[in-house]
Amino acid sequence: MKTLSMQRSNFRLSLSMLMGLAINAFLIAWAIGQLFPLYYLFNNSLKTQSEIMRFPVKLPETIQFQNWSNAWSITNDVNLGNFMINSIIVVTVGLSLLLVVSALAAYGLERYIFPGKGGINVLLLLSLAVPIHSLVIPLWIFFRDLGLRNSLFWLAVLYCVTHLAFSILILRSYFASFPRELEEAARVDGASDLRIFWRIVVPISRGALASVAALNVIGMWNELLLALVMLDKTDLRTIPLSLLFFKGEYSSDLQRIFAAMAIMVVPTILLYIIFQEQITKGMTAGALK
Amino acid sequence: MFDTSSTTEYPPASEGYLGIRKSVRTIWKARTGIIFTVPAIILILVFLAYPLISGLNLSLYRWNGIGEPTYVGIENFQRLLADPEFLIVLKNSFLFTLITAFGEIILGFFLAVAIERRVRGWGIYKIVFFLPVIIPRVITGSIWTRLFDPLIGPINPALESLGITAPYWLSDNNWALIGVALVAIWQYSGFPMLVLLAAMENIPLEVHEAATLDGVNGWQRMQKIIFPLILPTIAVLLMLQLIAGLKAFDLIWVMTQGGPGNATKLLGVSLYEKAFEAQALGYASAWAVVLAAIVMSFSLLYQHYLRPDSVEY
Repeated sequence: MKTLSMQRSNFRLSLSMLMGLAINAFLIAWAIGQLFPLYYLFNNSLKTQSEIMRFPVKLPETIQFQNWSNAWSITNDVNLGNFMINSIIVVTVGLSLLLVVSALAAYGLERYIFPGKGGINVLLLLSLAVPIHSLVIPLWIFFRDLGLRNSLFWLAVLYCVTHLAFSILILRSYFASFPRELEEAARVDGASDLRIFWRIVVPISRGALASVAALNVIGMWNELLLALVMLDKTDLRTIPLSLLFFKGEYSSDLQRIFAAMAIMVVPTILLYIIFQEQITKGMTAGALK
Repeated sequence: MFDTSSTTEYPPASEGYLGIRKSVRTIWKARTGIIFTVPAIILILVFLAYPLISGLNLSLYRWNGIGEPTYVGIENFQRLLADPEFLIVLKNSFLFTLITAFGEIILGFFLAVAIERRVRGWGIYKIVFFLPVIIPRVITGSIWTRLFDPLIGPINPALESLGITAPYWLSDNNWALIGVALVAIWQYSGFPMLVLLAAMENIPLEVHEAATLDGVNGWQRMQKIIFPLILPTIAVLLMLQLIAGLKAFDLIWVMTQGGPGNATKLLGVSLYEKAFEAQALGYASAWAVVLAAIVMSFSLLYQHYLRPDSVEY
């Protein structure tokens, strides 16, 4: 398919060449600007305390690998690996729950007519609009009274619910354009509704489900407020939460803080590099719909 | 619909007994749909609707979390409106939103334009520019707090060497908010860039071809064709940013906790502080109600006017 840029290249004038130079300069400058803080982080995580304070930009004299191993172990029982595992648990459970519940609901709403759908639509609309910050206080009380605090599982449930309406919205418009012939053919063959959904619709919808997952995984992984409110125990902390406290508890131990942050950001960056295509596609689709 | 009997219209009320039979039949026929939808509805009712209502209720009480709450009616709201901090917080929220919205969208726009040109390595630029968006705000906030630090950070020395007197950034009453806003712009410009890029690429080739036939040059193309066509997308981005700015918590909490003084207190930050630090749960709930009211009005406006086709009533 002919792209716009191919068309444009037919019209290069020398003015365009100058523009091209300016654009490249702009892009390189901004790329440096975007990457510099990360360079600063990794660079400083391998320096001594005095080096960090006096020479923020230079590379370290001798690489202090022990910064990383020092930062890894917090106490005898708890280390940074625990926090990563906590985050993984919460996000995995939350995402799985989210995909199942939102896919079912989106399909049910799109393919069936029943009384009360209007009310449900309003409910979904409102849950899309309500800010979670306004719900933290009652949720804190609610969870405290029921003893649901300090539980990675219930935090995951919360993560699922806060992303539910949005995911349902996306999946609904996807199912709306899903070809009915496939379902009708299976129905003619005598398959039950549930079977049709699980065996036919879901496998074919893998792409859309992956997009929904990609859209939500970042938000869940980096979520701070609910984790802050719901988790008191040190060994239950998720990654963002642990970093917050790290900053407080070791505020003057710069080596440790930088190293810890560097360690914690590595999985995020890796995840991004592997899944960046799905993530960027999902984000644009979500915003443009 | 493959099961046409599910589309039965509801009989008029005068049908009485017969009408009920029909409704029950409708529900029975659609039972799969209902069963599919129920888990989501239950979750939303329990974890969103109930807390919302209970929060509304709580705003009518005074409570510190222990013991019994005392009913005070609308006193919390009167106190809120009289509280000078409320105006400061509103001002901060809107200022922050304005700066970040314009900064991110304008920067994102220029980045999108630059990338759309497909210069060498555009794919890598795209990946790099979106990378900060996914980094946890705790980390970016911590890094930038150190970068802004007048003693150990590289920014002030760099500015000084250029002859500019550098402010104390996060400790300065006037500059703290701008500092935090700059970090937000730095972190999130990748998102409008991505969305605007997609919007620009969605413009059908025929439009560009027609324009080329009319002898349009690059600048005019930008002005008359591209810009007007992506304006709706820009409107959507502005709205999203407005809503996000009102709710902003993570970044500010990590960098300044609302300080110095009240300089960076936004609605979300102030709410958290009142609830969990000042332990004034009833009063904080009143703030929560106000925040919810403001955000929800904007959200609903946004849904209704800017994305009417994605929602059904």
